[in-house]
Amino acid sequence: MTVEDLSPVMRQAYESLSTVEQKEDFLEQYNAMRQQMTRSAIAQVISRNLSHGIGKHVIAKGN
Amino acid sequence: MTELIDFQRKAREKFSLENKANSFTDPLLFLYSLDWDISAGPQFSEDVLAIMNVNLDERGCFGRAVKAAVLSTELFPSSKIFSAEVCEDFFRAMLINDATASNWRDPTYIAEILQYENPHQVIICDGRQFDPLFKDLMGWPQELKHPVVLIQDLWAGLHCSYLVSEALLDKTNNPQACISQLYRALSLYPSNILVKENLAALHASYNDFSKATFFAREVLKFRKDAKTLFFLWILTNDEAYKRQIIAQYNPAMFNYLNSVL
Repeated sequence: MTVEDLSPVMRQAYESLSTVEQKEDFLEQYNAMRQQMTRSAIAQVISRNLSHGIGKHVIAKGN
Repeated sequence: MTELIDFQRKAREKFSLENKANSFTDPLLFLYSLDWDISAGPQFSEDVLAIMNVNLDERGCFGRAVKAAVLSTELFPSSKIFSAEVCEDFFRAMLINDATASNWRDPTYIAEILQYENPHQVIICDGRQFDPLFKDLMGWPQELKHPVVLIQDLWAGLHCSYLVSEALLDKTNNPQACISQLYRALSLYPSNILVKENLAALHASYNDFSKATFFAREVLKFRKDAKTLFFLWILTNDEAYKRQIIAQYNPAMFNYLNSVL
């Protein structure tokens, strides 16, 4: 990911940094975090197959 | 890959009744007269679910749908029976419509909404939905229905779900076989939502984000689903998906997903 791909909020944070090194570190860390978030979210989305139980909040409303 | 005819044979071998005599004239009332094994505890893991589903285990909604399909077609041959994927779940709608500020502060409430957004399959008997979960909730389940479902040919819809679970058995040890089978399922049943959802996830896990995004957007065309919105927000970095979560649910839903995913 490059600076052009950053969301407005992240872009603002990036622009507020003063040195090239800080900006490079920021991008590196952001990419690592994003990759980690992506993989984590994927793991959750992937673990979805046909299965449906019934939970306590619905049972409480039904009674 | 299990062919349709072999899947049907397996289903009938498991659920056919020797004695087909019964006093019902309405397949829906007959199905609701049976005892159904509904799990109320923690959800099964994906690995366990895939095994359960290829074994047509009645503890999952797929096994129950297959049993309902076998029994209703054998005992009520003149009825029109279909399968359907749930696009908007009755229980999900109930929880969102009734949510109070206090509910949105309760992570178990949000988790339960997300549970009802998981893939779900029901049977349609002469235009009315059969979902054993309705029986657990109220004394008149035949009056209840999920607000939006995607109706499919009975055995086509069930076979596609079976193929997805069969594919997922290979996900860890033979991912290429898994993805090939999902594409074969998609070619046979191009309208099915479940297969697209799994293709989205699998492509993302191999860093093919453009295909993952394509299939996730396809899922969203049919099913209301906060997790897929969140998934797309991460994949595309497009804040519109975040705004949709907040608008369609509550800021608490976004915060919950952001904290647990």
